[in-house]
Amino acid sequence: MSVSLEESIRRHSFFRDMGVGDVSSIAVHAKHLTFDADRFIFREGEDADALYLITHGRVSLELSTAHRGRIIIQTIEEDDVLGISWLSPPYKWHFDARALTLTRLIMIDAAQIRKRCEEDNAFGYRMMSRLVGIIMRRLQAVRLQLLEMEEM
Amino acid sequence: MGMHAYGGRYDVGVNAVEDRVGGMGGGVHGANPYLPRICRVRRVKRETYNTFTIDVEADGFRFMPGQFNMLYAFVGEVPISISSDPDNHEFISHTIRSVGHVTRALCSLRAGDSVGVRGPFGNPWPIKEHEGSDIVVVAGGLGLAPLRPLMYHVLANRARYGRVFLLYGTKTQRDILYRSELARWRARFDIDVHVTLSRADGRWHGNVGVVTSLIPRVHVDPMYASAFICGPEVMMRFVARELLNLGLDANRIFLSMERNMKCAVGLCGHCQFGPEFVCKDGPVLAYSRIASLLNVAEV
Repeated sequence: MSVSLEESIRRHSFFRDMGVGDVSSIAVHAKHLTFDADRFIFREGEDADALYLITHGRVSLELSTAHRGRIIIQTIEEDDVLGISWLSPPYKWHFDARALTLTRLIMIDAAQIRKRCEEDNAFGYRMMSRLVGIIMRRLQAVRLQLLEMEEM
Repeated sequence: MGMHAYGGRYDVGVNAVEDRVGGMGGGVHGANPYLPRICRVRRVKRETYNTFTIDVEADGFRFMPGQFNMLYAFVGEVPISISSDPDNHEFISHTIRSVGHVTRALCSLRAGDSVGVRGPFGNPWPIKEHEGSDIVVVAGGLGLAPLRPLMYHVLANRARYGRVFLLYGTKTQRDILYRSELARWRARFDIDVHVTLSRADGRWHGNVGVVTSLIPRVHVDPMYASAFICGPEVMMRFVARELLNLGLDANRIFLSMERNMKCAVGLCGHCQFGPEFVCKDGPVLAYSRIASLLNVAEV
């Protein structure tokens, strides 16, 4: 028996403890996507219009530079969340996201998530709490990265 | 970070090894711990663009994983962790980053040259005491060197331990130590090896991010897991904190500290870290014992 899109979302760590109603309301605005290795999922400056749940594979967040080529800032993988720039204006991606391996994702329409958050503040709080957790972890990682670069 | 990364920063003048305390004991090679034994260099292997592993004839030398030697290159002396297999009785290895005048002199040695060795010194990793546990090894940069003997021990006695994880973070692809060994360990089915870089270009298809980003991949029983960490101090703090969040006991998290070691026998006080002398009470210390000191400036 194949797993439904809603079940796939519920199995992802980001939504694992969320209520059935929350997940159902999200699932109607979601779809599965697959990217071959080396394909870009989004590019810097494009509209940040989706929240991606990685269900398989590895994705790099990177910048292209004139002198140093592509610089990988961070990699994220299965069970991670890709893309948080849709949270606040101007809703543009700050980095390129590229599949390093065959990558499967669930793409959720960001405008619909924002709309739902506005309409249902309790849902909005649950979403934001999870997203803040991710942002905090990534902020701490960047701080450590800066310190380590000097010491290591 | 062990004794490796900043060996050059703490280069010690030759006077430090003068025979000032005759017959005091402490080293394993005779009564006088200040007197270096002259050893023959067997091989010098380039690990990275600035890091070399120097093998010297063992000649009866024994050590425990995590211990260090004072290496005397006739222009000064530096503390360097031992990075070879403790069961290898033919030679002992020291992995050295060329950063100061003594470490530069050490890295320019050739097979057949001589080097002064005092040691082994310090507290080893308490790996034998943690048989039956899941093992988490976390290394940052050159911190992999003092953990390598521990890895050899665990792998040679694999059945005595539960799950084994090695997490290794380093700056860039060209800073990765012991590449062929890491590849061999990765190919085993009884150990999880994860490597991450702080910075990478498009040719790297592995993880990019700090070593703490690998910790969610550690699946151990926190009640029965022990962790061994070596790397920059700030990295060890963050890693220890993440391991505590995972449920590990602070008494079962061990760090290898680095301070300015000179006498190596706990007398001169150069390596004092709060109430501890890193050369004698450490370099391996339980996180529970030093956690409060790690965020005190200039301890």
